[in-house]
Amino acid sequence: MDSLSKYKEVWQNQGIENPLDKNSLNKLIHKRSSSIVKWIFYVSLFEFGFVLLLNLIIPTDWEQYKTYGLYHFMIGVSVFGYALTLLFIFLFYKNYKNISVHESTKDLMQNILNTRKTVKYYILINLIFIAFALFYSFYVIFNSEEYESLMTKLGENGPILLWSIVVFAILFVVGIMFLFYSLIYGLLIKKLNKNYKELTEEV
Amino acid sequence: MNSELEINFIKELETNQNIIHKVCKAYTNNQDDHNDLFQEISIQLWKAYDKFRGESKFTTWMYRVALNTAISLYRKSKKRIPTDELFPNSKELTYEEYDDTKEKQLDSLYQAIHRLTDIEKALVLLYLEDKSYKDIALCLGISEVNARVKMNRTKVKLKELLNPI
Repeated sequence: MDSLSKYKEVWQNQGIENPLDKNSLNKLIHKRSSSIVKWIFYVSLFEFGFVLLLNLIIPTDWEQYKTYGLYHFMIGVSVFGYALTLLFIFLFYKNYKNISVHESTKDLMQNILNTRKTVKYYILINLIFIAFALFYSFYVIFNSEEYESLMTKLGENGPILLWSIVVFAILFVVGIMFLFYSLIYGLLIKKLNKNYKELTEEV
Repeated sequence: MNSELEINFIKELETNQNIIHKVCKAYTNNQDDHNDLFQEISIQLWKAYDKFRGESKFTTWMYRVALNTAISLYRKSKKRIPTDELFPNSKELTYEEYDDTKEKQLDSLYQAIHRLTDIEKALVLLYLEDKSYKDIALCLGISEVNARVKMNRTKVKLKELLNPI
């Protein structure tokens, strides 16, 4: 006989130390869930709110953009940025709704990993978008009439120096944002990859 | 506020809460985490209850939701405390006269389970509940053959943990 079989009986007949009554169970199911997917969705919402708030607090100087000829570009950037965030919030919500605990563990984890993929794309597209917007803006500004005299003053190596600073600054901003994203979303889904690998390990 | 659905659910939950307790005990190391996971599983069960169509036994469905929550939806990922720290007296037991009480068997079983991976825990729990390979495969989303192979490996590991040489 399987030496583990004797444990089955013990396992199946184990008692509960502190069983909960109906009242406590009723209260329990109405508490808030703390599941990973819900938090990914909430974090994306919070982030959207934060960006929106930031835009409200710091007024956009559209006239300034006009003088540099960036007016239409910045409007495009804003519209595209909001549309992108809203699209991803919708995708996060869809993922959140699609995840069902009563499907198989593998399917459930696959769904959660899909959410992770959505997060990855969200971060990547956001970072590329920000880097491009900043780079293009500086390009237009440096080529504007106002900066022409400054460029001449800086001499031969001036533009190279200026661009080096700009590129460094952009990389710094993108780097900080990457760290921020990795920290928040990375923490939420750290354990899953390992579990999924364990589950799907081929024979 | 108490709909019929809710009343029925609470009744089922009260009767079968031992399943959730077993899963919590297997997947957590202290009472606080146990309670947290118990709550999360209950919430997930309640959220999915209206979709339960009775295709499988209620207890099998409960196991699936509970394990899924413990494996993938539960947010806490605290560092595992070595079982020696959890059960400081476990080494002394070997010096005592061998007493094969059910309680001790259960204790050593949980100690061994704590040393398994999340997926191995799920396999062992389903095995101990006498679930068929078909049910186990369905629950985890792997093939029956794969379930058998994984189960055999896990059983070997469990036996080693229960009877160290």
